[in-house]
Amino acid sequence: MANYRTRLYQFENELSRDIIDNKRLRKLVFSGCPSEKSVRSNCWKVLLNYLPLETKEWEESLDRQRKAYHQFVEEMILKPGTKKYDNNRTDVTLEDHPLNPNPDSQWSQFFRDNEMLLQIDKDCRRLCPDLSFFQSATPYPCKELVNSDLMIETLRRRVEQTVLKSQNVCKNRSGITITDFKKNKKTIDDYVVLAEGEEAHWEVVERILFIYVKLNPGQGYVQGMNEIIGPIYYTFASDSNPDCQAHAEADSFWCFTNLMSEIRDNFIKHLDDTVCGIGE
Amino acid sequence: MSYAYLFKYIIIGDTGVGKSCLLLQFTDKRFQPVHDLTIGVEFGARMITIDGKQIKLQIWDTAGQESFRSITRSYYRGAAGALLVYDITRRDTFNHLTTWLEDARQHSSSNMVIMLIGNKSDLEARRDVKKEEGEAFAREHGLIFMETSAKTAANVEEAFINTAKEIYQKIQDGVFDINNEANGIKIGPQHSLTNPGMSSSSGGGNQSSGCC
Ligand SMILES: Nc1nc2c(ncn2[C@@H]2O[C@H](COP(=O)(O)OP(=O)(O)OP(=O)(O)O)[C@@H](O)[C@H]2O)c(=O)[nH]1
Ligand SMILES: [Mg+2]
Repeated sequence: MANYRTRLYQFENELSRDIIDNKRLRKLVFSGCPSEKSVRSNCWKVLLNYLPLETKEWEESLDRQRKAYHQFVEEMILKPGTKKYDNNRTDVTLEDHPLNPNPDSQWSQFFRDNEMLLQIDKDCRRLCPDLSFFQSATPYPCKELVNSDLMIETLRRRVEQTVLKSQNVCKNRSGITITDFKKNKKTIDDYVVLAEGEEAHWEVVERILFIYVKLNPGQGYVQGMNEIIGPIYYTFASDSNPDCQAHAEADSFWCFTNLMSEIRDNFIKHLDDTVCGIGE
Repeated sequence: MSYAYLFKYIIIGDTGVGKSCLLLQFTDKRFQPVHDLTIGVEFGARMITIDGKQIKLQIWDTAGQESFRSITRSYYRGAAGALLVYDITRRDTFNHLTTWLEDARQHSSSNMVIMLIGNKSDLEARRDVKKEEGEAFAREHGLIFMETSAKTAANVEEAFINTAKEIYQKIQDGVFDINNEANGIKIGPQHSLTNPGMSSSSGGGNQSSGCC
C-alpha cells in the first residue's frame, strides 16, 4: 500500500509540472496507472496528445476542443434532426426522392448513413456486456436531445424507424402481404430501454462514433472501433472528478480521433484486402 | 493489383480552391462544376507507374473549412506527400499559404514532399496571383510548384506524378526510411522481404502492427 501511495504521489507530481516530461510519464504509466484522483484520465489525455504538455494551457485547450465537439453534434445531429421535421414535405421532390439512383442524392446519403448507423448501433448495444455500466443511464446526457419538447430526430428514433422499414421491405420481397404487427411491436419494445429524458452510456458512445464517421467519411466505420473507444469513454465517464465525467463524451471523441491517426491503417474498410489492411 | 510501393498523400488548402476537383480529375477523369463542400476527410486512390514500378497512391482529401481543421490535422501524420493548393483567382487563398505550411510542417514527418499548386489556371482572365509569385513562394520554402486546372485537366496528372517522383527519388537517395511507416510509405507485397503473412509489420521495429 505504501508502494501504491508513493506511485500515486509520483504521478501527481509528474502531472503537476509546468511542462510535463513525456518520456518520464510514459515510463511511469508503463507499469500501471492508478485511476484515483483522475490520474489515469489525465495520463491518457496527455499521452494521446489531447492535453498539451504545458499544464497552464490545459483549461483553454479543453474549453476550445469541447466547444468544437459540441459544434459537430449540432451540425451533424441536432440541425439535420430538426430539419427533418420542419421540411417533412419538401424532402420528397421530383429531383430527389428515395429511389433516386444518383449517388449524390440526399436520400441515398441518408440511407448510407442509416446503414452505417445500424452497424454502429448493433456494436454499441453489446459493448462490454459484462459491465452493467454501458447499459445504465448517464448523468450527463445530451440536453438538447433528451429534452422531448424539441422535435429532434435522435439517433435512437432513427434506428427504430430504419429497423421497421427494413423489415417491411423483407416481407415484400418474400411475397407476404400481411404485415405482422406483433413482430413489429416487439421490435419497438426492444428499443425502449430507458425512460424519456434518459440516455444510456452506450448511446453516448454510439453518438461519438456516428460523429466520427461523418467527419471521416474516407475512413468509414469499421467494426472494432467500438472496442477501442469503449475503454476510453469508460475511463473518463467513471472518473471521480465530476468535470471529467461531464465532458467524457467530447474528451473521448478527441482522444479517439488522435489515437486513430496512429492506427488508421488497421481501420480502413477498402484497405482490408490489401497488404496494409487487416485482411491480409 | 500488386504494387511496389504505396505512398500516402494529403491535399490541403483553403475551402473552394479545388482540392476535391483535382482528386476527382486524377482518379475519375471528370470535373465537378458545383462546389460540394467536403466534410472532414475524403479518400481516393490510384495506381501510377514510375521508373517501371507500380506505385499505389492513397490520397486523403481534406476539408478546407476552418471548423474541420482539428480533424484534418490528424491526417498529416504518416503522409509522404502533400499537395498544398491555392486558387489563382483568389489572392486570400495565396496569402494563407504560410499558415498551411506551418501547420503541415508542425504535424507531419520532416521528409514530407510538398507540392504547391496554383489551381484554376483555365480562368486566366480572372487571375489574381501571378505565376511568378507562386514560383517565388515555392523557391523560398523549398516546395515544388505547378499551376493546374482541375477543369481542363491541365497539369493534374503531372502534379500527382511529379510529387511521387520526388518521393521515389528520396527513397533512392536513402532520405526516407521506408521501414518507418510514419513516413507514409509502404513496400508492396511482392517486395516484402519477410514472411508475407506478417507484411503489415515487416518493418524492422515491429511495434506498429496493432491488430491480433
Ligand atoms: N474554372 C475552374 N473551376 C474549378 C477548378 N477547380 C475547382 N473548380 C471549382 O471550384 C469550386 C470548388 O471546388 P472543390 O474542389 O469542391 O473545392 P475544395 O478545395 O475541395 O473545397 P473544400 O472541400 O470546401 O475544402 C467548384 O465549384 C469547382 O467546380 C478549376 O480548375 N477551374
Ligand atoms: Mg473538397
